[in-house]
Amino acid sequence: MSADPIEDTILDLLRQRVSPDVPLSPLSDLVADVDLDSVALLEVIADLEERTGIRLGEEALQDTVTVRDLARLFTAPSATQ
Amino acid sequence: MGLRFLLFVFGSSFWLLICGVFRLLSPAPTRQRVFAHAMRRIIRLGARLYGLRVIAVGEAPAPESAPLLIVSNHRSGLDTLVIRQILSGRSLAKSRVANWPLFGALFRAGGTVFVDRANAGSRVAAIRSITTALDEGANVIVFPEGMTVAGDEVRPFFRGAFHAARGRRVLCLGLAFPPGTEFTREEPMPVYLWKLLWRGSLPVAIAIGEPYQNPRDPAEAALTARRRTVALVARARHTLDHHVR
Repeated sequence: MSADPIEDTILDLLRQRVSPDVPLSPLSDLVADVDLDSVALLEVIADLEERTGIRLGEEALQDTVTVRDLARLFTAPSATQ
Repeated sequence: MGLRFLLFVFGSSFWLLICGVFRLLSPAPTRQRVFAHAMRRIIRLGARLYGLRVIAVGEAPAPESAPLLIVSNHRSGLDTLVIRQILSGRSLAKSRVANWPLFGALFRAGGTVFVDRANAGSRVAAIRSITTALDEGANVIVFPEGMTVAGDEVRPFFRGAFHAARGRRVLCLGLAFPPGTEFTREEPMPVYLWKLLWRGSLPVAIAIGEPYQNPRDPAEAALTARRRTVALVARARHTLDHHVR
């Protein structure tokens, strides 16, 4: 569990898609640590967008590396389209 | 080679300057037409620079067939240049290419979609950019192996681009380069491209498939496209061997 509900939601969504052996934390790198392919990542982000009503812009997504980076996008107004 | 190099540098710089002026002064539709014209001229200059001789087998679809997801095996930093001799489209390239001197500006002007495969957000943004480009009516050229490979092996395809092109049509291509001219990552890409300049001529065969409807499931779509590409690569190799014998 983390202190941020969005981070918790992301971690839950990731747990549904990766092996239970993969350790997940807010600092996990979504590619290097979690090893999700692009389509699975897109599904996670689309799910979050639907839950929050926030649509992320392509520019904002560019520097998203960790779970925490992704969570921040859903709390930063500049990330939306 | 020196003269061709100078022609390319000055010619490309001229067209980039034109693009820069129109970017500042003209409305979007005019700007897009000028950019497209400039890209065609620069692509021609690039082909002349490398002494590129594209041997095509199969029929290129008419421009009205757009938007198509154009899928090819990946052999070299010149693959896009080869394909753009016969087909128009926006390309997908590694994000570091955006910062290359001159080439970076060329690719940006041509509407290239940049992706950093180590960056999760960049990968997702690239998928969305491909969908946007197709929705806008543009062809998009992708290399779903994700890396260059020497010889005629076709590595498994990533499924991201096929997800982006749901409901669209796909055109597969097979490329064959002369042995030893592929990019094998033993040296940086700019060094490889520089060395290739000194060959003087570069025959490359391209086999063009038939457009088909992209299967809904991206995993199945990737397998289908790879199977078609493997057959086209063999056809391209046969054609190249026949022409350079």
